[in-house]
Amino acid sequence: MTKKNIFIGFLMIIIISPWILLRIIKKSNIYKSTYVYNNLGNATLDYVVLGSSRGLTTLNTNKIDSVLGLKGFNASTDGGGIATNWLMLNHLIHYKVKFKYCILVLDDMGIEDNTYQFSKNTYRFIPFFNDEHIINEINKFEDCREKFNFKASRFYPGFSVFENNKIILPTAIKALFNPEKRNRFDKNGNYIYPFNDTLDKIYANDTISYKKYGHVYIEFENLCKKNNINLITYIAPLQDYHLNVPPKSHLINHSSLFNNSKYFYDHLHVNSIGRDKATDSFILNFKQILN
Amino acid sequence: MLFNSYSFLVFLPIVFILYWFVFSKSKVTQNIFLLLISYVFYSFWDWRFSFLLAFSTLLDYTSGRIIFNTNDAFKKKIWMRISIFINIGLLCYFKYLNFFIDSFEKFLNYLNLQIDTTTLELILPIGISFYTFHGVSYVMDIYYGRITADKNIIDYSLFVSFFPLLVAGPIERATHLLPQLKQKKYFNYNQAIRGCQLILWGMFKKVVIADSLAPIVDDVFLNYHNYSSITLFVTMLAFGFQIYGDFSGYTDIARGVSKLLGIELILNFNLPFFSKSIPEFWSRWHISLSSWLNDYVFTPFALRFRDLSKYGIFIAVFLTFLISGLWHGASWNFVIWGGIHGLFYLPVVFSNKGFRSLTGKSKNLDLKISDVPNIFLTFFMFSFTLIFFRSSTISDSIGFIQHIFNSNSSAFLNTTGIMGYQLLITLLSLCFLMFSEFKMTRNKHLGRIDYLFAFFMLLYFGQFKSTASFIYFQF
Repeated sequence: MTKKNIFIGFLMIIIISPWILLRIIKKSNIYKSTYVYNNLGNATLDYVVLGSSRGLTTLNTNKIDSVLGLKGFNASTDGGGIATNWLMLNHLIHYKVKFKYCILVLDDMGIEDNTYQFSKNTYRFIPFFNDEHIINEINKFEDCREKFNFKASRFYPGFSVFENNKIILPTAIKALFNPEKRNRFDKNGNYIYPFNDTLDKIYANDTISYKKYGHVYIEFENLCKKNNINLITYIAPLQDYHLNVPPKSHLINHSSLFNNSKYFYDHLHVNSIGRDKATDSFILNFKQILN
Repeated sequence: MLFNSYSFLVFLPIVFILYWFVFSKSKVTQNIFLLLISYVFYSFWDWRFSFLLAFSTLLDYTSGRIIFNTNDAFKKKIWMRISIFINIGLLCYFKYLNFFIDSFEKFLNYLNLQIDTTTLELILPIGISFYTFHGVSYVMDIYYGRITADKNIIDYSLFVSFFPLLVAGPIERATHLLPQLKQKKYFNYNQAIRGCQLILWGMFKKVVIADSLAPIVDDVFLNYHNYSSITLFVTMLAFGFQIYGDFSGYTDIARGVSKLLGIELILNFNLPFFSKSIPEFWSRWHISLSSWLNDYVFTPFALRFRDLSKYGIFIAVFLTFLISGLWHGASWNFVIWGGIHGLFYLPVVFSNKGFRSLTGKSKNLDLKISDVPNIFLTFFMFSFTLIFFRSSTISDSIGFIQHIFNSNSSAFLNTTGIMGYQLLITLLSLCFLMFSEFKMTRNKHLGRIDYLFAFFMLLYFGQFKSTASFIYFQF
């Protein structure tokens, strides 16, 4: 094999590898987005939970299902803002996942968002770089380098792959050897933080109030209405403060559910015992909505 | 605008195309274009300091013309001193004023004399340490009759503000760069290819090696008391590679960009980690600074103290390295760093071999197995001094050193998951870098496959999400 052949071969590998890597990831269950694509297409569920890490770790869908006799899925993505939840909602609808209720675990950052913004984990939709339903929504996002790379990936996926190289390559390697592996969620989409007794024991009693919902939330609401999905807005427990939000039908505000830091893993997330109690309280409210 | 940013990725091709296809009619149009672009580039940092750059340029140009055109020795000396005083004065004001005030206050407090001082909130103009040195060397060379004063303000302004070297060097000499600017540049395909290779190699060193090591080094230096001795020791070495990747990477990119524009900048790093002694190290590391200090600081000191024989030479060496330390940063840490390097010259100065220059001529490397211990020793010595260079305070430096020898912690770096994967890749990249540089010591040029591999490493392991600045920008 001549040096020239080695050079050309290596060059071809570099050029083609982004397609291969993204294909491997897309065919695996490693991300929520790919799990939905591979396992939930055309599925009929009763409800879906959408949120960030607070959505991922506060509501235990296994427990909700067993108590209420329902079938649900937690499609929350850690590190995702409301715009990422929006992408996931469109993703679910596109792959004809049917569900009557969407439980949006709303963080205070997403309440008044008027623009769609990339979060640190929006890259998990990169395997769908060629899918119209994702590209159309990405077009609504604020102009930034990530958006440019995402859109440019339609022509050459290397743009997004190389930008997120530190994640994409090891993920693809993991997915290649174990395509069934899920990245920090069980088969119902849940994840749990362990019990943590190291937090400071001070419980603050501040209240932060929001006067109106932002454009992104309203669009979220409209999309649910358009697809006959009942939107439940849920504010998960917080350690340091209470959130006051404008009234909505099917609003469940549990931001000050706990007054004891023993239920929290950190200031924003409940731990294992906090999740149990939060889920129990949620079930009571959810039951009323169902009736 | 950092070299490793997306905006520079757009900036450079535009400059390249305009330079060769629109403004290439004559040397005058080329230089005017490059001068304007250089000021635009500089303005991306802070447009206000463009005026300072222009002022410094005009001062040195005028001083040079007056010194050259007069036969009056007194007038020559006065204008040389005015130029140096103002240039160094500006540098001292922006870079060292708060340091001097703070040190003075601490000194008085030590003597139990309380005094109220106020430090100013000054922004350090980027590149000031580099372009003031350009100006000082230019004026001094004219004074000592080594060069003639430039009659063309455009050419001279471009010499000072040429954008690839403006913010972090190399510190060019008028004898090397000005003659190139006085001629029309013609596109040379081989030079352009070599430029692209240098840019790629520089990006590999910066984005793959330096930026991968940075978070580890930052965390360990910040929390050294939490880590084991071996971790601290390894991190000390890692910082040596980080700063090498960062600074030599920058210089390679600067030289590569210049080659694309038909201009050759001086070599600033010449395989320093294969040095067998500290003096040899300084003939290979930041060559433009060490040669500048040799010519304009050490040599005058050595002449002044020549009556003290070898002691005088050592004093000259030591003072030069103290100044070098201070040049690197307004902190006693850097002064100590410089002082330690000065002390490393003790055996060399007092040997019987006749010491003449800080750096000597950088010889071709002809390595033997027997050189390996000296190479490792030199690297360890250099890395040890970097503890002072990197730590925030002297007490942190001493604490770091103490913990290397006496740590109560057994905590190593987190080598699981992504962190472990990144450490592995960084190690692989370092091995590739050192192997490639070893090839260069054998006068072998890197081949296409080497550059392709570097390109592959850059694409797949380069740090793109958050573009980190270059360490030497702070100087």
